[in-house]
Amino acid sequence: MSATVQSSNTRDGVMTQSDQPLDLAPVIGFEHVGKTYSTRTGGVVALEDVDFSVNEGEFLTIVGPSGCGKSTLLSMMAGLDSPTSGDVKYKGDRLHGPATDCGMVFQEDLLLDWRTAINNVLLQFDMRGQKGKPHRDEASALLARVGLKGFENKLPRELSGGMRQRVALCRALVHQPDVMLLDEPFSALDAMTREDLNFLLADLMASEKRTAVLVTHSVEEAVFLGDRVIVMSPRPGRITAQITIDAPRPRVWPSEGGDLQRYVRKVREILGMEHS
Amino acid sequence: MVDTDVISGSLVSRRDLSGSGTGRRVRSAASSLGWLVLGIVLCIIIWQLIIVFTGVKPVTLPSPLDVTKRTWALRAELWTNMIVTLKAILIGYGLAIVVGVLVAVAVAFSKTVEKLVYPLLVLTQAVPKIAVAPLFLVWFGFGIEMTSLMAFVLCVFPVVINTALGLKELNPKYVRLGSIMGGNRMRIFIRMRLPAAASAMFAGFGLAITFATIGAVVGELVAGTQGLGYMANEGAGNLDTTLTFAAVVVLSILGIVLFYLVQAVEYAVVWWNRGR
Repeated sequence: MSATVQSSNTRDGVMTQSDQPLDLAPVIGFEHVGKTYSTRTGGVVALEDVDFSVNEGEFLTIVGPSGCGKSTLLSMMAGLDSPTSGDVKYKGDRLHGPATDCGMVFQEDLLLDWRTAINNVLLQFDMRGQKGKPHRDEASALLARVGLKGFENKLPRELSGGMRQRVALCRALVHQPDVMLLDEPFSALDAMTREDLNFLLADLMASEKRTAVLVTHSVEEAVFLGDRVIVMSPRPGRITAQITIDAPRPRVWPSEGGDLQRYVRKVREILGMEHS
Repeated sequence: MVDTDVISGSLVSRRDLSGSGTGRRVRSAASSLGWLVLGIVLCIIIWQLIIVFTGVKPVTLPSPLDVTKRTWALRAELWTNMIVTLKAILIGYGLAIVVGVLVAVAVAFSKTVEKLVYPLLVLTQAVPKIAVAPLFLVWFGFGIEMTSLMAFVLCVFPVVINTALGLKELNPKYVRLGSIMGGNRMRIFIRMRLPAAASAMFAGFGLAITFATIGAVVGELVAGTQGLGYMANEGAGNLDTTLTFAAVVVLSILGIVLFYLVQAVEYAVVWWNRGR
């Protein structure tokens, strides 16, 4: 399977893999996006000529070392940050202000201490000025789906880190977002919880064919979750490769053997992480 | 935790099962009250010992028993005067909370207001506020206007500072989360910023009630015709030290009760912090 992406491929060879299936309209489009921060010592180029799109129903992962601007990319998709050059398009239109049709998960769970698990999920509606009550059943079902049945009325401080992040996932999903944006969502968790949540997330996204973009510095995570992996270089952040992960779901974790190991090795090679 | 007390022990375990930890909190409050009583008893013993060993004259230092007898004999008069002082405290304190919170909201929301108001606030802190009492006497005469304004002036500062700090404390990521959920400034303020600030605000409110008491009493010392401060002054003026002591005792009880009342309100309002 997927003999096209062999480890023997050159970097350019990988780049040619980037072309997406053309029959799907992109939900998000980045057109020659650049971002420069001005500091006392002059401008710092955080992102340079970033050009890619996110397709309907696709799980895109972005991997790169810290400081490559990958979180800035996600902020731009969310409309919380704007490029200094180029365009970010949402369903063909330029983004103005927060992309409220998205659901976002951050590295911190950002739960509100005074709301129970279910009311934290329903915050999604409260913030929109809608009543949360009519959505209680959906929220409750979603919490059960992520393994939190019976924890609906617990306060955040009564939940473990992994449980709290599950609640945050539900909060980002409960309004059926067009796109899920995940900014290193599990990187503050311990390794075991993290793996659990990666399986849960893969399952959640695949079962609903939901469009998702996840940013991470873990190669295994990016390969395991992604239909496509964008690899970024450190400052200034550029796309060095786009790799389509042609492996059926459900997948096994890369280190457990199977097809994904090859992709992991490839990405690590591109990132210059291979130590022989 | 090993429990020696069967009743409170069963209370703790039952509450802990529900996960709230309230039982432990109630017990620790009870034990802190116990220590307070012990401390007061110790002070009274030392007081009595000083009289016994130094032979100081009753006009200089009356005995605890004399003070208790006098307090009981004057209970009706002390009560009516206590009500007068309490009124001044509550008017000044209430005004300080309303004005203080409004100013703090303005400071937290506008950089211009912050730059304008903050240095002024700090500057007024450098003024020994008690020194303005004679001025207030000239402006407002003898009466509750003067005494309650003294209470206000002394206690508004901790309200403003703590509320402003609390309102600015919110992790900016919550604002990003709130805006991607479609929240406007108002909803983010009401549902995130204000509850997050509640703990810090109550820290200020707790300080303020103590300062308000000082303010009202200073006002009465300078310009009272009634009130516990006036009574204490009268006693000292007539070399009736026992009367002064009686007024001080009632004043101390009033101060302690008011402080614990504010704590009780905090306990009810900021309920989600109880276990901490």
